[in-house]
Amino acid sequence: MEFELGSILKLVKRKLLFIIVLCIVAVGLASFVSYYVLKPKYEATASILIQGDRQQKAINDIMAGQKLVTTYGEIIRSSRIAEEVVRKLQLNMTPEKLLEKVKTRTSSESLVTTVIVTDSNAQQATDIANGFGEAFNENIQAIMGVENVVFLDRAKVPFEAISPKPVFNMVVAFGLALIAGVAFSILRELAEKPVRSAKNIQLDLQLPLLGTVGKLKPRKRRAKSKSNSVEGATRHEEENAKIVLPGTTEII
Amino acid sequence: MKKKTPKLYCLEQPKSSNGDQFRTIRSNIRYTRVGGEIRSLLVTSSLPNEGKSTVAMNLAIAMAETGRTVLLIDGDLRTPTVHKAFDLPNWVGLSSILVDQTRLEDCIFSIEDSEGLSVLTSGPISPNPADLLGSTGMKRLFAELSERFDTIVIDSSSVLMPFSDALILAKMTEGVLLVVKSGKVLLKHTNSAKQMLEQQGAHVLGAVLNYRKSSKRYKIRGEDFADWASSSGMV
Repeated sequence: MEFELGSILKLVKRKLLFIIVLCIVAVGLASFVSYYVLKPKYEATASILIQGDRQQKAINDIMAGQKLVTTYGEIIRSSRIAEEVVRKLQLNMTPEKLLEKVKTRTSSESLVTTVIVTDSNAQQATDIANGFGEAFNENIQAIMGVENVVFLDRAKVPFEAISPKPVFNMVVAFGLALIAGVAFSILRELAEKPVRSAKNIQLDLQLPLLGTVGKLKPRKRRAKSKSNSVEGATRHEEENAKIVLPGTTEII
Repeated sequence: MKKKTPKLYCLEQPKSSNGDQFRTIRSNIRYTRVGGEIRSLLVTSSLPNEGKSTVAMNLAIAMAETGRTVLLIDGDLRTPTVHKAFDLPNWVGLSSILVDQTRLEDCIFSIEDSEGLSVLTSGPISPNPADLLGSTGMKRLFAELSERFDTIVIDSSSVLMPFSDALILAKMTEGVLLVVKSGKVLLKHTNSAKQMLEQQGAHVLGAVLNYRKSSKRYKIRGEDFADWASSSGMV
């Protein structure tokens, strides 16, 4: 069986109901899961700005700045800071668990370090983000000997959950269901068995098999006495073509 | 779509295995019926290009070999092929008899190479074959021909086409032979063709499997025969 676009479209038309039902079920499932099953996650961000030593001349400013900022990012994610945050906020989780929720974002363009905290509780995410900022503030003196750390932005309580995105999930589910439905219909079509053997005819069709015709080998053509032209047209064919029945229009 | 002209294996090589396959079908048809021979037979298939015409023509030749008078009617008024295979003119034929009352004698050709076989060609292609075949004129003609010939074999168009030519003819004939092209036709197609025929009250005699791949298992080779002969004490 050969599959062209046209035949696939025909197939989809025939199985349209099945595909639509599949899509509806998939979208329903996706929305159910994202609204009722998955816990919503909130994201809170706090940003910290560190200015380097004022006396330090900015010779390799960009290089140094970049390295510094990266370093701060590392420091924020160190367990020393994390332990302090746990102690401060009296969280009942290990520092390692806490660090899983924390990401830092540093940009090469600026000296601002951002702490991003995701948590299923909006308030807790905010507290943790601010906790990190404060803990970093207190400890950076001891660690790096840098003085002017500015807590630039305190984290605000987020209203919108960042995940799950129900609409996005539903669109993905719809797309997947569509592909799966079409693929399934094509596979089912391909699984159709052609009649191949005598067994097929007698069992599946329940018709008596009256005989089989195998490969018929045409005889080697000898020179025929019949006046066959090269194209294989019989001597009557041209004459037959001229006949026009009443009821058909003759084109001259 | 250019149809290939079927070959008359039973005339070209009467003693060959090709011809024998059709003789087997002929005998099998004979034994499907208790009490008397099948008088009229329609050869059809579920889809086009399954080898209806080849089977119909060679079967008609094989039937004529038994000394009966056989008429082969080309009932495929849309893509007739019988006249090409027998190399006959198609000026007049079935359609012209039904349309403008051409005399029957002018349309029926006796085939020289095959004793007892006559052919009624399709005639020129008409715009409404289904109406022609369903007309009362066709019924009268068929009754007349049944009296004149022992057996009538009709080659027709396929069942699963959007027109009812084959079904109309199937109602007239005593038996229907379903040609099935091996490896190409899906089981559901043949099944629905069979059901359509039976709904019309046609009697489906059986199926003929065409284009069967000859597998090694079915072939009896010389050494097999030698073993068998020696073991059964023939040598």
